[in-house]
Amino acid sequence: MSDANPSKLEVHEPRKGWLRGVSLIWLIPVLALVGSLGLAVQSFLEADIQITIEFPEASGIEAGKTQLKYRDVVVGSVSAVDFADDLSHVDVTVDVRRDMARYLDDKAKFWLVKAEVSAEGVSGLDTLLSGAYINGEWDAEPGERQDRFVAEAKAPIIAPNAKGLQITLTSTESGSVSVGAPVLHKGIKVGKIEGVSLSEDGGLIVITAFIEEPYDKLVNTGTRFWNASGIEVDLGEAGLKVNVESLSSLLAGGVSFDTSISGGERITETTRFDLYPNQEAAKDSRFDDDLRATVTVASPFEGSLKGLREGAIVDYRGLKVGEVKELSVYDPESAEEGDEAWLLVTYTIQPSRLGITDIENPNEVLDLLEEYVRDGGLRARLKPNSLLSGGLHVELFEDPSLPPAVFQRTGHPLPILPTVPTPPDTLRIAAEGVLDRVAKLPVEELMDRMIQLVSDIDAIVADKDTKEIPATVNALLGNVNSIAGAEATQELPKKLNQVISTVETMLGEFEERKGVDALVSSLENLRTITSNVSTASDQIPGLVEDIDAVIAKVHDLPVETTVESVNNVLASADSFISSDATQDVPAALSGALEQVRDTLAELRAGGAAENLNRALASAGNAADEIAKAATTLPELAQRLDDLADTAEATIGAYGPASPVNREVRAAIGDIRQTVQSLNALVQAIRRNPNSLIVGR
Amino acid sequence: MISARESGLVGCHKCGTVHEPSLRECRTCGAGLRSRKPNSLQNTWAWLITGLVFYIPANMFPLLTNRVLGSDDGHTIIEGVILFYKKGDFLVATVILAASLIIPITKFLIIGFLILSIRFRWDLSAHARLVLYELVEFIGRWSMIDVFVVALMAGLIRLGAIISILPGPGSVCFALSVIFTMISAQSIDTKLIWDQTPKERK
Repeated sequence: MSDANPSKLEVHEPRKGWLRGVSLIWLIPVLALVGSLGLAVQSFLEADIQITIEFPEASGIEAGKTQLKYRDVVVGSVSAVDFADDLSHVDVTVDVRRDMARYLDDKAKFWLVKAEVSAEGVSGLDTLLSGAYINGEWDAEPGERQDRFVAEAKAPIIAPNAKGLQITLTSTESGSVSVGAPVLHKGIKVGKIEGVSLSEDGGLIVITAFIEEPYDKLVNTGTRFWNASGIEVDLGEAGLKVNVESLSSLLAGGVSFDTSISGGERITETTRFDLYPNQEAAKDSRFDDDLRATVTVASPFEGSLKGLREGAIVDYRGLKVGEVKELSVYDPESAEEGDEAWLLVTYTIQPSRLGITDIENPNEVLDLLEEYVRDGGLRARLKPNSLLSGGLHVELFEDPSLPPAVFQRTGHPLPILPTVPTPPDTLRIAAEGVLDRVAKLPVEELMDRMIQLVSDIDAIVADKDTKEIPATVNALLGNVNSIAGAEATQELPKKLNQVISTVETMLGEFEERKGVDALVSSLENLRTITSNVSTASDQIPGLVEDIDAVIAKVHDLPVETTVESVNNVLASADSFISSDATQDVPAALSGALEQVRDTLAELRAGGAAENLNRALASAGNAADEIAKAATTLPELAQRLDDLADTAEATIGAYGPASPVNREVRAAIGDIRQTVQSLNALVQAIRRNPNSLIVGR
Repeated sequence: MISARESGLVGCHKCGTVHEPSLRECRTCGAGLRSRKPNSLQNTWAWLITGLVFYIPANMFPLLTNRVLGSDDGHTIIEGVILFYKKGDFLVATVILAASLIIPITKFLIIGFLILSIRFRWDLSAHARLVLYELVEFIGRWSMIDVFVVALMAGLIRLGAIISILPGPGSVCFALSVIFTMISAQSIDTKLIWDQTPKERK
């Protein structure tokens, strides 16, 4: 290579031409550029959008870890947690998948889901394993995008995009209706209680409920809602009543509804309904259709009203037409000094129950009432309720023979319906407590007396004389037949009246005697029956005649002795009753009943059923959550197992004797044990979810 | 010293044997005979730019993603360096910094400088250029250390949701960038160094 005169190699200059000089190699950087730009564009298009959610505090939220889920699918993650400028809340920045951006309008809601054990149940148990996450809910309608949201304090009871019907229930007492309680129809859950709040004036409880599709069709304007919370115990005029809606409502509490009024119209928007305290009240309310025509009137009563309470019924010929609203002292302008104060009972009357329909205006009802008072003798009086329950109610009755009275349209300040004085018995019966009367019932004496009576009767039947009686009776009947046509028949009603007066004297005697008050009313009934018979006798004189004859013959029969023996029985019974031991028994019974009553009162007042409901609802939720969590546990176990397998395989590649290997093997053994215990736990939970709450 | 071209001969690019210019193939190794690689500088430029183009996304996208207990966490090269630096792992931080940032950038600069100096016949000794070229060739084989680490870790640490390391798009771009830079370095016809060198010895 050290030639002194090397000949030059001929080098051709490249041909000129603007494209000639450019090599095809330039396609490669161009392609690379296009590829890179494509990657950039793609990543920009796929890049998450950022939204900010305001939380009051960031408990459980961790930047980079906490995820945003929509319908349990991860759609984003928290990228930063920062304080707001004024430190009033925490701004959580979340990167959300771009394809979700268009749904994030003002209807989107966010809330934190974490494991929570509260009065309303155990929730979010699965987050114990995965960590808390933010749940988002939005509808499928794209809207104007927002990038700033305020987190909900709690998960909404009803998913924002749930389909159904929202209704508002108003009640004067909340009972055990709590947020999340079910709405039941024939015992099937068809919705949930969304919220319970007070009305603005604080007088009503406003309950928001949601009926899910397709059950929303069951609700129309004729639907009545009632509180179906667990057990209802009512000691009313119909006696003791224990009402359990269904086992499920006993567990969960809630609101029931039924559409018992036909012809209701479909409702489509939020409508307001009354929440009745129980099913009976709801059914009663069927008559409340024309509430607009309901009138409120008042009646003054002299003397005590003890036993009459607000809510007592107003009946007319046995049918409930209204109820007592208020009791107050009445001071009529016409009252003179020293007069005993009158008491004013205010009550409602529903004309539809009086059979008056087609009335739009309460004034028309008042006109009618005025007419009834004037022409028909319509009056109000106090009547005792049933023997068992005690108490009073107001009865409207018509008696044209009463002295005329006026329906005062411009009363004090309500229209005043005239009254008749209350018989003293009525007040006494009403004033006595139910339990007192129950205590007084001579149950055991009665039994003894019955046994004695039966044995006496046995003796009488066994007697020879008694066996002759049938023959005598036959003869008697023959005599009756002959008497039937006699002229004296016409005078019989008078005689009957005499009998009645005797009965009345007997009544007086009975009233004086203690312990047989209960008989008074039945005797009164007897009187009525008798008088009815008296009236009827004009048409059927023969019957009365027969009776008279029978009475006469009976007097002749040797029954005197029997009567005597019965009297003896009574006397012995009386002595038995008056003995100290016997008196004690009813007292004990009374005490027991008092206790029962107290317990019931406590049960209602203390909301024990309410607590029970909550606890049971919680248990139900907890069981659900646990079941959910249990499904994720095996997955974890599987993963751990996989981990152990992989790790073992990896470690197997190293030398078997190295100390690292030994330790790793021990660690793998631990992992396997963990897997086994996890599996055992899952099985335990599946077998008995309660064990998580109550222990083993 | 005299070059083959100056002697009217053609040196084989592969084995270095000198031939008559009329020959088309090397008698020793059978490779095509050319005095100079055609379009050498242009090719070098093209490959270099391609490498640069890929180097940008290599730094923008995460090199690897570590998935720990289900949550993903990706880091770009610079993030990784900062992370290790903050953790106090200065050695590791320095190694990553050197392998992923300093070496590739140095390569781009050296190759760029070389071809610019050849193109514009800068006043530089041929020997210095050769040293630079050798340097590029030498460190080129270490540029793949990042990609190698990622590939190794992604292969080794793969325990499902518990802990996994997944290669990110950045690692692919980085690998491409390194490959194209190496091709670029290969494309330089070192004989050009002597062609354009001013004959300082003469």
